[in-house]
Amino acid sequence: MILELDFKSSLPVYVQLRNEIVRGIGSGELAFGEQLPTVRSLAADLGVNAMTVSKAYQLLDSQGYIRTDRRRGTAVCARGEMPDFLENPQSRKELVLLAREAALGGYSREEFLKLCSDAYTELT
Amino acid sequence: MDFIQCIIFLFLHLLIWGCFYWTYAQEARTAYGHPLMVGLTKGQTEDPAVQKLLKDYRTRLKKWFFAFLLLGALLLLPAGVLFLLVWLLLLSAAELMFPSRIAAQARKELLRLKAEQGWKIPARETRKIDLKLDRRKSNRSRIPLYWYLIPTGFYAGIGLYALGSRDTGTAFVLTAALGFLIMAAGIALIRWLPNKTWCADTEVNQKLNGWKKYTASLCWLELSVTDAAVYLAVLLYLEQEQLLYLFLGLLFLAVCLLCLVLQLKLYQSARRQLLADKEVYAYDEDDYWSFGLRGLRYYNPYDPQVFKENNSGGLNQTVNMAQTSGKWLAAGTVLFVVGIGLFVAWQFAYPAWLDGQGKLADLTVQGEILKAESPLYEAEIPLEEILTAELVQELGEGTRTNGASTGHYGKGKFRYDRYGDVQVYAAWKHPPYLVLATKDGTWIVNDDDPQKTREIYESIGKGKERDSHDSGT
Repeated sequence: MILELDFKSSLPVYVQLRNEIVRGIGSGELAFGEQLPTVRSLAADLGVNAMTVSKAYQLLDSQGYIRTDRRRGTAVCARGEMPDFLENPQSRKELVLLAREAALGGYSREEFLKLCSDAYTELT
Repeated sequence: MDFIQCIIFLFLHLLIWGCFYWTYAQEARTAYGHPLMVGLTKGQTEDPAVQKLLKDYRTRLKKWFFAFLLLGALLLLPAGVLFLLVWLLLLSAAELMFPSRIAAQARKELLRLKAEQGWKIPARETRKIDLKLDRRKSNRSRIPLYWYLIPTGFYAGIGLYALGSRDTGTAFVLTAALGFLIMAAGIALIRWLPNKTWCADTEVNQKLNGWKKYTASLCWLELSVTDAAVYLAVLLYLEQEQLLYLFLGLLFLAVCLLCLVLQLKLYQSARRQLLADKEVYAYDEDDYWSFGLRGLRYYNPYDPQVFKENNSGGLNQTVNMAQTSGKWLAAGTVLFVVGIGLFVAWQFAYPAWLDGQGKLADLTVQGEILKAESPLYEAEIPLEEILTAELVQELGEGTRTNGASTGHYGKGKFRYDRYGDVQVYAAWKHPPYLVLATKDGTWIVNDDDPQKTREIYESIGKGKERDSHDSGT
């Protein structure tokens, strides 16, 4: 799975990293239960401070996407353990914001739904 | 000996000259798409304006390096080791700094041309990193650690051999210990080198990172073995005074450097093959390269790589100064060079200071022992072993074959036209000298107080002459 990070973006690197890992799980590039690299190894490969990766992992852990075990390291949670999308109030807010932005940008409901449909990947 | 010294310095100069010329000349190459580290497409590099600019750069570079080559001929002057050392250092600094200015100017012009023409290269704004790369897997490709027992054995051998040697002892033990520490630091650094993402194919990325670690560890082993072997050759040459050891050391150095280049070429070839049908991630890095007083510099906080290939296609690497490891490496190198400079300065300044204080050389008779003492040396000659003694103002023509010598003092083995091979422990600026013939060889000693040297001669010199005379009659 290829992470894509914009180091010049105003969005913090740990948030970008969190989003990229969620995108990877959602697109199937990262399998359920798959082991993630250690904090130090990933930090070295990214060229960032270990705290940045640690913060991203903590965020993913608190949101229920990954599980960190002292002995087995960090791994993606199982399919059935993934967090409920609507349980997170922020998710609905972000979706509403996107829909509003699409409307303001001149997109019809059908066009927006088509975009959502294209972006959605069926997971097995 | 003077001639050999000159040849050694000239060889070192030619080695440094060659390295710098090769490093700067390759910056004009267009094969890798970034002459003078300015990103250009193949079509853009073939533009007549770019070709002319690069040709002018090459011409200026050749003129400067030809001048440096001529200036290097001054190293053949028999002007003493201090002059040779200072001249070599000055020339090396000039060979690093002056061409760098030429390269900086040429690069500026090339960047201006690129901006004027509105040339762009296809590059990514975001950085791609393969999450599935495993550093432990890459590290498994390194050569086994036990291979480093070869240079370790060499270093240990040098240390043990030097410990038993009177003249070269401490300096070589310290050098061997330093060599071992640098080797260990290199092994640790290679282990911590980050993985690189070349393309979207994880399998290819993992294979290439394995190759990279294997090549780095093998090259480091070769460098460590070469370093230790050259130390050993120099030690044996100093101890046994046979040029054959120096020749073998240099031959070993040449063979190892050749192996190193071949190894890097193999890695390049493997990389080309593995990436032949892949889309390789490219980034616009023009802003992160520059030519400073210390040559080519790379400072990219968005690039996790510690070592960055410059325009040599992998044979030469630049340290990414934005990374912490890069900063440590640069600081370590500067400290090492400054440390050696200070050490050499100390070797000359400390004896001068001792001489000023009147503490440079002390000659005393304690019981039946003649002692030549100084903070820089200590020698003892049993009076009963002295066959004849002579007090001389001039020693005549002679050279040091082992030990140390500055304008103020000399210690170790010397060879004089008048006396042959002798052991010297003397303050040069305070004649007279006592020339003592013993059954084990000749010694030349003195005190930094001429009157005291005379008194010692009076107390032992005449007595010995009388004893010799008595025994002869």
